[in-house]
Amino acid sequence: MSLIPATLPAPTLPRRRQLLFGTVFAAAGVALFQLSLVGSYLAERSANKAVWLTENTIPLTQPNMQLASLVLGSIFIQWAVWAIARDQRSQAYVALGCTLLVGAAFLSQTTFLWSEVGLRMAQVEGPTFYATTGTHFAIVAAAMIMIVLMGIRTLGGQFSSRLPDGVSAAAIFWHVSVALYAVVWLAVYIMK
Amino acid sequence: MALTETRPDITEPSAAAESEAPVRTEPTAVEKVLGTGDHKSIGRIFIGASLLFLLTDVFLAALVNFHIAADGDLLEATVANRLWLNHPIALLLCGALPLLLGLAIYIVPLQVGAPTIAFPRAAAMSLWGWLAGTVLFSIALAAKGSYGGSSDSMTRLGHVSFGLLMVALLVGVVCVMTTVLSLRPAGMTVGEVPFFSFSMLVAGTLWLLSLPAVLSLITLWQIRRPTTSDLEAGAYPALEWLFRQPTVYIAAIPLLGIFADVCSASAGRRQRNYAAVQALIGTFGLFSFGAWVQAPAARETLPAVFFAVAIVIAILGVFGGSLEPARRGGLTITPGLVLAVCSILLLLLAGVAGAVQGIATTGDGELFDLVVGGFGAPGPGVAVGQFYLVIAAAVAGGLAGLFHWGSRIVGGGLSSGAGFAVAPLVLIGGAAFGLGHVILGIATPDASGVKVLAGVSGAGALGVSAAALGGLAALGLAVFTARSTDPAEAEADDEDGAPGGTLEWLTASPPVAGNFAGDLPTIESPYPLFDLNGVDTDDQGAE
Repeated sequence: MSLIPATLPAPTLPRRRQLLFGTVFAAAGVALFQLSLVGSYLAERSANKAVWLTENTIPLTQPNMQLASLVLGSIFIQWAVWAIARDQRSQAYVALGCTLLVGAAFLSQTTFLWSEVGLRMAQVEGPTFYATTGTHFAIVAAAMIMIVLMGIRTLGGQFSSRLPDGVSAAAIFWHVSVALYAVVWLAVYIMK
Repeated sequence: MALTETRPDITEPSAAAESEAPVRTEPTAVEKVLGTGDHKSIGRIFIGASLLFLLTDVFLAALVNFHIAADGDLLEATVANRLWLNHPIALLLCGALPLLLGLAIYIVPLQVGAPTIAFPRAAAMSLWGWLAGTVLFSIALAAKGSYGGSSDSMTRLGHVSFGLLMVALLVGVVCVMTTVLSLRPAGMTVGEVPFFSFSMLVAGTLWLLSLPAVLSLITLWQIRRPTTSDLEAGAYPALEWLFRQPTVYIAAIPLLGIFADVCSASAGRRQRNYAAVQALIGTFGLFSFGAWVQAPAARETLPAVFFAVAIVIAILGVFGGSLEPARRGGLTITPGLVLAVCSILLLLLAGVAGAVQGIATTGDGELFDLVVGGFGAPGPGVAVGQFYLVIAAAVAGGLAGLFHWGSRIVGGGLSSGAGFAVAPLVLIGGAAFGLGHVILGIATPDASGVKVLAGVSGAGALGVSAAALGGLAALGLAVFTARSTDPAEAEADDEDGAPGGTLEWLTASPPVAGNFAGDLPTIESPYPLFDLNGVDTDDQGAE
């Protein structure tokens, strides 16, 4: 039986929260992008008060349900973070799966809302409405892709209680997407 | 679980098995370049390509200024209009910002003692995305497109490539910022990060706070399927705040870090007021935040005027503070130092031009007459000159970094003679490039005066273009004649020309794979190499 040589170098320590910092910066950029679009939406609405949404109606049921879905997703993904920090892998997978499920529900509700509202691009509200809500749709889709990737990497054993960064990073991005939806919900759907 | 059987001895693979094993061929040079995730290769390509684009873009700026000087007889009116509208985009996003980002991608991991950059594949994506964006933007511009163009599809292509350029640069700067925060060695706090790395952290934050706002406007206009006139009359004026103060200063933040690092290294001494200089760089960054002055009316408010004046104080503070090690003697005049001083002087001129512009807006513009100008409808004026001065400062700062860290970028370093030769070109050329328009805006001369001053600006642009060419030629020559990474030679080189106390000077010239051959010294101050070699230790307690 061969012995482990005494000169074997110590294992490389994990990087200092590289993925978390990267995700925070990326999320900040995405948030600024979304908030700028909301600003443009509000400016456009203010400039066209007389004709804004006179032909179409935005129902409140879907937006409220969407907000509830995303908040629920926040709870689920925080559950995943809690579970992976305690090496409860099966719980982590269930929690990530539940988050993906509510994410898919959100995307489905968004497309349903678009068909319900029936705004056309040619209308004055069209470009800013679809740019604002469509960008948020894309952000949630990106968050879901990130959750899938981090889930696969967790499955591969890359993330555990020793290094939970991947799941935490996905959680941060998800929470940012929820916070951004709260702004969209208020600016676009509530303050009509 | 108990181990009941003895593990079989590992036997050497037979010759037959070895011959059957798939042979991994060595990648070709092209494959190495295209598939690289090495921050040094990415940084070198960024620097080289951005210098190439800079020299052509500044040449275009010269052309459009000579067109004004020639009373509109030099170019076709449509071509001149297209160049006038698009050359600031090219100067900022195809030249100045990528030059500084490329330098940061190369130097920052070395400065913070990291073996690589954070997210190397994202850094490579940033490079190729930026190159693709630049090529698409150039194609659109050449094919009667981009802002002011006559072809709808090519105009939209220019518009989209403008967005692509920003996304690519943002991805790159996120990699740099993450490197600074997460790949520092144990013991190095953010307060001990070298000035250039710190300035990139500040610059990256400001880029992240500013460029997404422009990107959102681009997206919004793009989904409207705009016509050429929509983009020229609607989108361009909405995006133009990127080229005006205070946002234009986001291109200048890294210069402050380069200047502070170069001063300390050239003097071979520690900076005593480390935290103060870092705070001043941060203050400069704060005053360059401009996403809140997108509307023209916001530029005439009291906070906008305050920003315009306060930023000059921040520049002066960094200038004076960074020179502190030099004031204690032992200063070696290097090309890097001369170019860094040139860049700060040009930035100071830009700051003064901006302050004058800001003060002129107080009292409902009745204090004194001034033509602010701009790249949209207004035309030549102080704002145009200020933008040119910032670009010239960024070119000078980029070249300063290139010559200062030349021995880390290419084995043996860049020619000092070339560095000293480009310094007057970039200083005099840059000053003329910007001051032509600044004087034009303040003095409001008659038609002949406008022609003369636009001609001065055009000639200055040629000087800056020549400086960029000089830097590119020096880099190319150094790469062509670079010696191999021989540890003995590298050590000798370090003894001759590695005056700095920061970690990048611990690497070979050029750095080996993984950057650092041995263990890093214990980080107890911003200058671990000075600590290691016992340099300037009397001042350590003063920090």
